[in-house]
Amino acid sequence: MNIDDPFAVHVEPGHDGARLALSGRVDRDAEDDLLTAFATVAEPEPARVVLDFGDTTYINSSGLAAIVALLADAGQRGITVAARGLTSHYRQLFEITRLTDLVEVEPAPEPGGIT
Amino acid sequence: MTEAPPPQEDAAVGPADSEPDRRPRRVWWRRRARRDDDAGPTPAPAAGTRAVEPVDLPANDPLLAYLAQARGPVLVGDLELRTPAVERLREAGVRMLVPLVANAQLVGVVQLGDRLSEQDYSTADRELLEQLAGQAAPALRVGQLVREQQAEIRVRERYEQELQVAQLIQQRFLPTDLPEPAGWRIRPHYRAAREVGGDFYDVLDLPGGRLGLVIGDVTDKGVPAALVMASTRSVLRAAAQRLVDPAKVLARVNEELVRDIPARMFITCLYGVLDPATGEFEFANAGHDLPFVEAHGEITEIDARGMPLAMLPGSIYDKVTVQLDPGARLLLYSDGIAEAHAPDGEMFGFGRTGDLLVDLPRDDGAVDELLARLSAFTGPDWEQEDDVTVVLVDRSAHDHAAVDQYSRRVFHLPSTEGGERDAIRLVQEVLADVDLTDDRRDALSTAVGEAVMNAMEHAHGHDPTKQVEVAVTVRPDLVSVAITDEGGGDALLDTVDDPDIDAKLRGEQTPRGWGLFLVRSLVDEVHETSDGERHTLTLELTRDGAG
Repeated sequence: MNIDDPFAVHVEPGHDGARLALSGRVDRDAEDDLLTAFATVAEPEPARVVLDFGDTTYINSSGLAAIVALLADAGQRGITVAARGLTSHYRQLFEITRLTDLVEVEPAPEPGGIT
Repeated sequence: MTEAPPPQEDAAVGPADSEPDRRPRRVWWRRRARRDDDAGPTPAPAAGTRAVEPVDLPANDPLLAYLAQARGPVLVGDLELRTPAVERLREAGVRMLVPLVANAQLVGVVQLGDRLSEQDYSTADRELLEQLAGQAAPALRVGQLVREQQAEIRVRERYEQELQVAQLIQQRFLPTDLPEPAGWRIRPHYRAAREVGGDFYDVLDLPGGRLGLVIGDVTDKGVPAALVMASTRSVLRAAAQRLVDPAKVLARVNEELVRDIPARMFITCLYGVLDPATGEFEFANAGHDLPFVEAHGEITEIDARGMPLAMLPGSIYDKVTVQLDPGARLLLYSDGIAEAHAPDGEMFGFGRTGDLLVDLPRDDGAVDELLARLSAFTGPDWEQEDDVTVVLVDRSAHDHAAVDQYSRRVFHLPSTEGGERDAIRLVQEVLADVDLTDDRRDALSTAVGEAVMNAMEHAHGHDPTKQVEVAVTVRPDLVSVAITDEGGGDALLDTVDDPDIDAKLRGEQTPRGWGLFLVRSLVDEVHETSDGERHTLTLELTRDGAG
């Protein structure tokens, strides 16, 4: 995995909501795919959607903007969003930007940085 | 009576402002009007004369010179002089003038009206008056001397107070806590002359671990010089943080000072930027004494020209770069050294100033030894004519461990979409062996990515022919990454508000606009400099376990 890996999102429906597994770099290029995938899983209006960052290699300000846009959409639909697999650095980004106020952050995985 | 002004004064003798004595038949005995005088007792009037309004005798009236030479009392009617004072004496009805002369100086004049008997003054009257004058004059002179001494004491006290104020200002603005980059020793010394001159020095922390070194001298002494020094220091500090190039810093400072500093006052000043990582010293000089560099026993005077600050608008300054290799020393100094004199009047001069560096010890005693050599020339009784200021910069020849802890790598990246990821990779490579935690390294990497992305996109419009410079400096205490673009140099940091996520969710702000906020939030310090063409953001992170 490295920071040049392109973004991909894999949708996994679940009992209590869908999981969006994100991989590669979450930057400007990710926005359209991310929002489209979210719209897909949000259609039945589940109570909760999990964003899994376990395989992401890079998140920058444009990627954060895409997540904010996703949260705005989720807020309108009344869907709770959770974040899974955040490294401590990504968790720091979520805290700095106050995304942690809006997203349920699940426990951290084993350490790992930008690779 | 009027007191004659002391011979050295040219002030007119003013009228006294006390109430005129209304008792009859008085001689007017008036003291010179003085704000701070105690009027003292009014001496008894001479009996048998008619009261007259006393006439003030201007110090420059020829009558006074005449009276100083006169032998005894003078009848106004007998005077052949026709001066304004004589005319006014006649108009006032003054009949007789009795000069009071002490030590051949006219110290006062008794003015008498007509005798009450309407007879002329007799010879006996005149003798009596002359005797009286002979006794009164010395007493009056003693009183005058006491008052003059008191005035001198007050002037001296004011002067001492001014000196103290000047010293306070001077001391307040000289830095006490100096940066100490590993492998370098920076030792300033300042010793004020009795009449505090306007010398100053300063050492500034600049982005990327560089140091700004300043030495200067204001023409003038005392409080005015101290105030100009304080204002120069402030303007220079501000300019040094915004601009990098020393020549541009001095040009900017000159433009600001030339408006504000009184004519005939100016400042000589040398300003340089020392990079402890590389030993490069880049400086510009506004008419200050040229610095000396000593390397391998060889002493070189480094020339750089430019007009003193606050002299002319539009001054431009040479920029000169000197390489200070391990073991090299740099001496900045003020003219109080080169212009010091030996007892026989010989000047110390620039040659001897440079030679001060020869075989100077390499420890904290170096500056003391340097000053001792100056003292040996001037002798122990030297009355220091001007401030003596020295900044000695010494790069260690032996502390290789410290030298090895410095490194600088500079990269130039074309401005492409996603080009910031190249910058992140390069920074991570440089920092691979630096003792930063993963979180700190990631935070710096992300901040670098944001700053580079901003430069490539907003400053260069993703034009791949335009390059963004990324300079990574590792110091023992600090890691810094300077990102420079050529996009015109508008300031960014102070113009961008912090993003508000609630407003973004409500659709009142774009979801974007996190970049500079992340930069500011992820590193310990961000500095922004710009010279109108090149714009630099320097991101700094204190190394774990250091500082």
